Amino acid sequence: MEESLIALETQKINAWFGKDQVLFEVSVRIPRQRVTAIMGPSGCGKTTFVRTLNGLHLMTPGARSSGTILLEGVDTSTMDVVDVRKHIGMVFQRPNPFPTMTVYENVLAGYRLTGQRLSREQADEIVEKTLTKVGLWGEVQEKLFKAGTSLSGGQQQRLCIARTIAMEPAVVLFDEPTSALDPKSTAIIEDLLSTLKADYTILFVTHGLQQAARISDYVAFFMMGELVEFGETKRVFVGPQDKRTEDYLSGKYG
Amino acid sequence: MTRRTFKNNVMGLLVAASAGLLIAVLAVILWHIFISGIRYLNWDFFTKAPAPMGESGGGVFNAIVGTFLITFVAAAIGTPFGIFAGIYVSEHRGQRFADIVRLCADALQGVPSIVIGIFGYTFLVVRFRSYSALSASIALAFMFVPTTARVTEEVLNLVPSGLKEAAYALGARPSSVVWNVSIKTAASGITSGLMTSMARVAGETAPLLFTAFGSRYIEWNMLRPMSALPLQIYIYASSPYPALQQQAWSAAFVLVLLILLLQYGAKHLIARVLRVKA
Repeated sequence: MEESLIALETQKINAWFGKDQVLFEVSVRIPRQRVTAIMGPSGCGKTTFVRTLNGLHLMTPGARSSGTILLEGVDTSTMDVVDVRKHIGMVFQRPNPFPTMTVYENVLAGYRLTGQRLSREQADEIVEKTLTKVGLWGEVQEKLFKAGTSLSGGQQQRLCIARTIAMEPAVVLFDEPTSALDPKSTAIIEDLLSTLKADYTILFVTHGLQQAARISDYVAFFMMGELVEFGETKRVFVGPQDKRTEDYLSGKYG
Repeated sequence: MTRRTFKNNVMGLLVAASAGLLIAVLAVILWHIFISGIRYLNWDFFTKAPAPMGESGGGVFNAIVGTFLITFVAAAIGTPFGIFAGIYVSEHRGQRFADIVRLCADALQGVPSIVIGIFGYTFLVVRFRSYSALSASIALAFMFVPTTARVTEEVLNLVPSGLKEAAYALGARPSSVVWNVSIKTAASGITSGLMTSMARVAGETAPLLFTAFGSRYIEWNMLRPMSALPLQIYIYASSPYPALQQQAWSAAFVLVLLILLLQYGAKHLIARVLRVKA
């Protein structure tokens, strides 16, 4: 793949929780404006891997990591962690809008929490634009000043996506964002990805094979903390090169 | 009846009786205070200072003013320290110094209030050569801080870690996460903790004996001796005059009412917090 098509690159990422090593020498090049599925059995290190990308794994006491992460060619360890997180947004497993904020305030939460002031017009524009992008504008237009937590689970998750992309990140990490949602809400969010990837580079953690096949352009298959295989989704699913990938695809491990 | 069902019934009865006793004790106390106290309540009681010695009538307005002033100033002094300490312990969970702070808060809660009173006397009253309401407030603040710190820590620990992670993932700095996410989410819990702490110190008598001392006059100056409801109750109840003893009951009624209102308010707020969570 050409250098200019790479948004994010990791070189030999290792991570530990206390004495347990959970990631081993993970090197991968994530293509720009594509959906890359991070796939693998439970406990294989998928979530830890994406959390090392924005430094969120360090929230766990005793966590540490080594290796290099290049965001658009720039080593993130030379950047302020706040800037890294502005460029690499994240959507979590469970919808987690701020319960003390309205729908409107939730969309702008990133600006508020980082102390960036917006004029009334700017704020209104960002809210309408981002909620439209996640397909929520029509549904919540009348509820903008109600609590974010008053929306349905699927709507809350889209609100969290809106909150993340309102900051205009380059990369968005999705950590199993549909695992707490019903099938219909899941489908809405999956559809959303195909439009979001026009603007953002997406990493999508999932343990569902079908989901990975449906949504992703590329897939990274993890096992026991190692990156086993990376490639175009079609190619990996049709002709896996590693025996372990093949076994996983044929249902040999959970 | 088999042996097993017999044992079961006996235990059931014991548990129910103990629970009933708890209610009965509170009911007897409240009823007695209500009956004895309400008889002598009148407008003068709430609005006038004690009548001069030998005259009848008068009220405890001086003590009501004192209780409010001393309690609110104690809360004003203690609130920031208590909340900051609570934030510290919650944010540094599992770290050695935080554990020590928590241990000290628990120990300070266990110090008998009479000891806090003597402490206030030695370090404030003696040093400034005067009994004063302010020294009473400071002594009560020593009791206010540990309870507030513990409650603050506990409600902050209840803030879902997912919310903090979401804030960090948006690029927020730790101080911003504490103020804009943790404190805001836990605000009503912290408020009810403050009210419970206030209710607790409002009824304290021992620290006031050595510090506020008491006064027969309506006093607004925190640097002078001041009365408070518990003090007034103590003085009136131990006096030989029936009229004063009756006023002690009425003052007790007012004090209990005040504390119950604070505690009811706190419970109400806690219930609201729990509803938000669910």
